[in-house]
Amino acid sequence: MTNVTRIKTDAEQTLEQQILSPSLAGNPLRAAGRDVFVGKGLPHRRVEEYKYTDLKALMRKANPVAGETTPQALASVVETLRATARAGEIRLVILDGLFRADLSDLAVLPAAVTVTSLRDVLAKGAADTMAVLAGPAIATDDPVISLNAALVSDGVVIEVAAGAMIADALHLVHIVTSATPVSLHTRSAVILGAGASLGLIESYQSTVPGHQRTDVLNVVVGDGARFEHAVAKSDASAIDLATITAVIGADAKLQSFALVTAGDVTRRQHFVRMEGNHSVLSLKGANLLNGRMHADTTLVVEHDSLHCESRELYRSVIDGEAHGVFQGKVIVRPGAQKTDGKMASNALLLSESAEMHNKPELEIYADDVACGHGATCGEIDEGPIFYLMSRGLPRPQAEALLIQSFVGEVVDSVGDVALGDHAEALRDGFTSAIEAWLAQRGAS
Amino acid sequence: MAAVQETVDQVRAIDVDQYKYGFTSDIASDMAPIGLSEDVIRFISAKKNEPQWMLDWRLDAYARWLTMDEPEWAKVHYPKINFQDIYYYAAPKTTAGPKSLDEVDPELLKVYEKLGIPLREQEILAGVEGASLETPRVAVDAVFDSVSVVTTFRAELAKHGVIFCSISEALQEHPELVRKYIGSVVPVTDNYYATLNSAVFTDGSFVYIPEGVRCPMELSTYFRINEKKTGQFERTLIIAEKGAYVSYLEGCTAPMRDENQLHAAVVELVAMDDAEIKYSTVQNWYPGDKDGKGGIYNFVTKRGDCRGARSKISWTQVETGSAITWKYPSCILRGDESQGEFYSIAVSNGYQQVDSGTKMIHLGKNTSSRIISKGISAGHSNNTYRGLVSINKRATNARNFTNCDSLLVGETCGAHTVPYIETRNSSAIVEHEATTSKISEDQLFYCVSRGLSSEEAVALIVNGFVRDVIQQLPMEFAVEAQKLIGISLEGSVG
Repeated sequence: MTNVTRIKTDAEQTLEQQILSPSLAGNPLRAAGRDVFVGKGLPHRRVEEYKYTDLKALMRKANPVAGETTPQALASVVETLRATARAGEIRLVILDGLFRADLSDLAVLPAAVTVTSLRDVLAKGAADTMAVLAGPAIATDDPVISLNAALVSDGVVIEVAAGAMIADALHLVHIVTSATPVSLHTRSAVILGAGASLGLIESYQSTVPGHQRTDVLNVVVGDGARFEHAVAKSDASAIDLATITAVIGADAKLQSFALVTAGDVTRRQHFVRMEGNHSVLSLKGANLLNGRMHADTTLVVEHDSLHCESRELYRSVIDGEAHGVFQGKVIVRPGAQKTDGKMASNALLLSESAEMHNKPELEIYADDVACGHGATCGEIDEGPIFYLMSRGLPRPQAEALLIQSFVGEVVDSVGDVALGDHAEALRDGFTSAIEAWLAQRGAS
Repeated sequence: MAAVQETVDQVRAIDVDQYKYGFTSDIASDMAPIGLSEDVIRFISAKKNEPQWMLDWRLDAYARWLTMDEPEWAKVHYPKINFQDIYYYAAPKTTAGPKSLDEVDPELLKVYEKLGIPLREQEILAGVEGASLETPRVAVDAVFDSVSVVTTFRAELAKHGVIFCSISEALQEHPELVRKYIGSVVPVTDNYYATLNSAVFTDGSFVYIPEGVRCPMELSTYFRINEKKTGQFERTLIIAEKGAYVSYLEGCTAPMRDENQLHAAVVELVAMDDAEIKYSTVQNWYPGDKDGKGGIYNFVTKRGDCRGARSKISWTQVETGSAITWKYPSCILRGDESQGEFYSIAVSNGYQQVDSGTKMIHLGKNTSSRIISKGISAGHSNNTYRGLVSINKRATNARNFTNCDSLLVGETCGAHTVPYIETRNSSAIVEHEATTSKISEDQLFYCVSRGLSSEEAVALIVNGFVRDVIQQLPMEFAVEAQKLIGISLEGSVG
């Protein structure tokens, strides 16, 4: 009835110019993404999936695309990388939006693992890899994935041969050297052959706050394969939109964990399709928010096979005027019998102005399933606080202890699937990030 | 496994194929010209001899409706409704102000007799055979297509100061009350169907309980759609003054027709300090035949406003009918320490589509709400719970508990849960849990091992599944509801 002309925001206009820039002409993903973005623009609160994360309002302006790394910056990166090398960890470096084979630890890469830059993969355009990069159908309408497709500069495609159990963890390091806020759009893929096993860690480093980033990780877990993924999101970005899509075969396992402790606007979204029977999915995470941070966890889990299990557990601790969002949708397709799905989102509100929005959804078309979700939101329980204080702990420490245990429960699951050898170090890393966040809270 | 006899029998009574209220009655009707226009609205308003402000209000609503788009967010699918192919007003010809029941068309009375609705007070007083004097009495407002035919027990209610009449009569006799409250809970522009209703509403009930009065009997409205191609747009307004209490029941049926008919109602409840309103619905509109042809589109806006401190509004609904249900009875918990409750059983079968739930908007301090929703889907139906719990910044110590359970019967149906939980105050405690399952083998095994046949076991488990809600219904309705809730388990067990 009503014809509304869409008014483009400054950010949308800049993004459109960037998308149409000739330097991206060689990218076959671009066309589809460009059409979607130019047609719809940034998602806003009237778009159901972005109801609580209105990017049109949150993203006032678009940063310029990251430029070339200066020689000085490069030298400093090389130095840092050398200093932080760890045994049992193979680093793959994405520097200022480009995969850098020269900076990555490719020399120690096991023979069963192939690592190629996304640009090379796109240039070849092999149909099967392109299908992986398109992700499952449940993800195709997402506007952020489209934006990423339209602007993607590079990334890395990791392939693990069938049957290969990789003991060393791969560590995808995202580094931004620019001294002014820039934007980065990267996309990577992990393809595990049947029976393979791989652990992947991701981390982010930048010298200044305020960067904008979209990143997509497309995962394919073959029959009987295991994949574990762990992310620490601790850089102070302005906008960080991370997407993980996964297609899981039969008898396979996938676990993904993310800890978010910084970033103005963060959205981590997962689109997972369970295609084979008897597979297990575990998505976990903790969001520690303060100031005016906004963190959104969005999950879509599609069960389209028999006897699969999915577990989603997210814990949020919200302080200051921060906003937490959890949207989780479990779809059970017709015939996906014996599905066992459980999803929970628990939030602790630490201040009067903290907000949490929960939207756990079930969409079920099969009758012999056991699916449930739970969502809770409240303050720290006074009972345990009283107990700890009566044992001599001052209130801030008592609170910190309870918050640590609240979040600790999800951190404990790290290492359950394929990161076993690294689990302890990883958990220690996460725990110190949590402690740092709590220390910052105590100081303010 | 054999079919579950008890439940199957119960289903036969309500199953889409065997809808027992599906008869049509040939009653001469006075109708507005087909379609919707300002003229039709003027026609309706003139028929009801409404004051000018009411007509202006309707026309304003119509003008706004023209600028609105049909909502598409619900998980329901249906061909676009042609709003120009509906009669917006249909009234039995003989009802122009009958002084007593004797003047009402006997055909019409027969309809209610068939439906089992008592309209003669002496009959009600006499009660059924063997009934004692304590049998609770129920005052009934019977709405037939677009008009209220009769309202019983008005004199007795008046003794207590309770006003119970059709909204058309209220507009004549208590225009100041209607004007004060109408649209104050569901604003004219609230949503597409509420705005349409505001423009063309024809009848409905009006209840006013004065300060400190506990309404001496259950009030109830019985809605019946009879004419072809009509839409029913009723508007109900219930006001409970300080310390008042009222329990209100609502029932509805329609003939079996192979066309889809529209029912777009608006219900507004206002509860002042310490007042309590209990609103129960047994919705049994014609659900369409076994192939999904025909049936009522039930697009209803129901909202209660707990305006006063310590007020309470409780919605209980048993939804078994309608081809499509789109209904979210809500509570605005404005008064401090006010309470909202929502108990729902939604049974869908055949090709029915249900998208129902509630909204609990916590605005006042120490407010609490409770949501218990039980969805049972069978056949090719889809049953969605969609709800919002919103805790405002100022709603200190708000408390909500939500429990949505779905039971799937057969492989071709769907059960969905879409809750929105928005917390803006740290002192609020909000809990939500939802489960979806079929009757578990463990439960069945347990019952069977205790000597029940598998049929009895399933019947027992299903009854247990909905018990929380059935318990909330007034006695008279609980019996009717239990009969309605028999569900066809042939697909899964037989």
